[in-house]
Amino acid sequence: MDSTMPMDTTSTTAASYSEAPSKAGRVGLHVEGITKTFHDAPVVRDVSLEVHEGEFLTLLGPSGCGKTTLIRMIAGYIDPTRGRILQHDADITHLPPQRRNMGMVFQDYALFEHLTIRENVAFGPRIRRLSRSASRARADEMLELVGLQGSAKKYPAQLSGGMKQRVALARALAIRPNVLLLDEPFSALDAKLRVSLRDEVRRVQQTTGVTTILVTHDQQEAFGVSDRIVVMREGSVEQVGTPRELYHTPRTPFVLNFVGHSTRAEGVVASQRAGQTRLAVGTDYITAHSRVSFAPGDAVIVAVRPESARLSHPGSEGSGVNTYAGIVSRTEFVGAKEFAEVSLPSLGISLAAEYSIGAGEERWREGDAVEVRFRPEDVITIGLTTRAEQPSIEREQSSIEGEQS
Amino acid sequence: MSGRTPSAPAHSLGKRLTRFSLVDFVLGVVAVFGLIALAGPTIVAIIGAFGRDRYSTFPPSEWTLHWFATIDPVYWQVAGTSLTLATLTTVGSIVLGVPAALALARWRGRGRAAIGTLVRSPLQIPYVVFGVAALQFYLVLDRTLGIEILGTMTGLVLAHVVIATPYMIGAVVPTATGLKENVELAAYGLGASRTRTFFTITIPGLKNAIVAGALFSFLISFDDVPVSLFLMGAGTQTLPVKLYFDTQFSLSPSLYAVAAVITVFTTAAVAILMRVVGLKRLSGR
Repeated sequence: MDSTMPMDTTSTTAASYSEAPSKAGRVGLHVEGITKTFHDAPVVRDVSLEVHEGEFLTLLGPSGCGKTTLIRMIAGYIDPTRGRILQHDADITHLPPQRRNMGMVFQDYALFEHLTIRENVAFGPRIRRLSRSASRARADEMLELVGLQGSAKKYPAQLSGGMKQRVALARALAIRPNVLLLDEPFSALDAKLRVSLRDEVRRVQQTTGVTTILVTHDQQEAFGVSDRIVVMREGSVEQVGTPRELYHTPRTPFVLNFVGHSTRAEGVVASQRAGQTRLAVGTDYITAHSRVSFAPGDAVIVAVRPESARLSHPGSEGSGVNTYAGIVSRTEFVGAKEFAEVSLPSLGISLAAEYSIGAGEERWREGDAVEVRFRPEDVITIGLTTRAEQPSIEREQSSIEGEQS
Repeated sequence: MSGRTPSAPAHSLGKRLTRFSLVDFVLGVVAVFGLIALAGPTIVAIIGAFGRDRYSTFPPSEWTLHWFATIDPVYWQVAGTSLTLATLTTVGSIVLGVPAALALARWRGRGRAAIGTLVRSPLQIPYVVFGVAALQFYLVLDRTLGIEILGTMTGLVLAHVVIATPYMIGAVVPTATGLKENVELAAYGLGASRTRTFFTITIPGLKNAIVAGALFSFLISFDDVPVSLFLMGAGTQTLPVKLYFDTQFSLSPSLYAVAAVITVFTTAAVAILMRVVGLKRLSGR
């Protein structure tokens, strides 16, 4: 390497973005009541969002949930049917994409095949009337940021998929955009490349501090890079939160199912006191910590993550809340962890449990009698709107009767 | 070793290298005959241009360049007319055909198939019929609107553009269909206006197809006889038509000389063009 290069290009790039720490948390983009209807079919329904300056926000959801349409409305390629989009209090709803200063990275790279890599990246700066040499310098700076400085004179057709996507990223960043938009940018790449490239995007994002919105259907991808995630379904927002929030406190059944694994059951609220909710499930009870207040008789989805369940030999630990007798019906060894499926007759469910085992240790086998415990704070509860019919009293009475006979 | 019979499955490598079946032989013979049939007449004519005998025996007993020297000077004039006509036709077919091809490739509306058929309809009409129709049309224009284009270069160009443009469209539509919309969206997002994007991104993306279409247009115009026959005037005789007329009178080897010159010229032009376009392609791959 040339020893006369004094500059640390990375910090220059960060400095040139001038995102002072005090700007973090400030809202850069407002999406207000955005609706989009195609031929009487609503694709995006009344979506409102706030995007914070410098954050990495992901729109996550299955195909058809409206996330791509939404990001294209933010970019200006599609006009909303209703609603507004504001950038720093300026209404940009009907501003053409040319004037929004947003860089977009597409799933199919969308590089200009007849131009060299450097010319591709310099395209934006040139349009903005930067001189040839200034554009060239900016292009080289961006290419160095994504590690492709050696490919400046090549053509897109000579590059692999992963390299093309990095060029697309450099090209989008070369205009110093207010917002970086990524529309399923890794879907066309193989699994390993997907992971390394998304880490690279996150690294670049943190270096430059640019506000970023990513669209993906891949939950792990979203969790790997995002500050906050917007879970979408059929045109509406299900929940917005950090990955932790979505994992530990999902607010809707869809989010619960979409994010991670869990054992789910339907229960009825028996009582709620001092933040502890007692739920009737099957012929037994589960105690949960709930932020939400319920009324007796409310129908609730109860869920437990596999890693929250603790298995022990019957009677080896004292009795306590949320302790159930069960039989191991299946085990599966997956390397670092083992999964066990335990049937719990009193709750009427088959619980998925996950635990790590040391080498040479074998914990459980099919047919083993086992005691399952989980803490009240690890129980996820999601209220359903309908109320259950049977009050809790009858259930208690019938279990007492059952014991007596 | 199991399979020497044609129907037995052979090892993939071995099959290519060792088996030359009857089918391959027959196909080879057909290909050779095809080549002879296609190229033969041209080659005979060119060789005939070098022969001494007036009534062109084949193969020639004596070799000479005499007939090249005695080419009727009028031929150079009509060659100029044909070249000008072909060039103007090519330009016209690009201006009309490229936007049309883009529209056909992108339009999602109802009448897309119908418009496509309409635009390609000149291909269905025999050129003689079209020539007569154009003649009638120009006469009507003259009598009703006083527009005199019969016998002029303008009249020829207009008619040639009609017959050549469908070829341009046919050459460009497949590539235009394959152009990815996201590339243009990317250009917009980077700040390029629609006009600028059209000229700096879309058109270059179609370059190879446009060149191919231009080649077709040029050759169709240059070679045309049936349409030019009806529409030419005193100063606008075209090369192929003059050649056609002259062969009615005598089959002098100087005509073969003209044919030889035309063939060499067009072959060289195509070869050079392919080289120029091909070079760009090489650097892009």
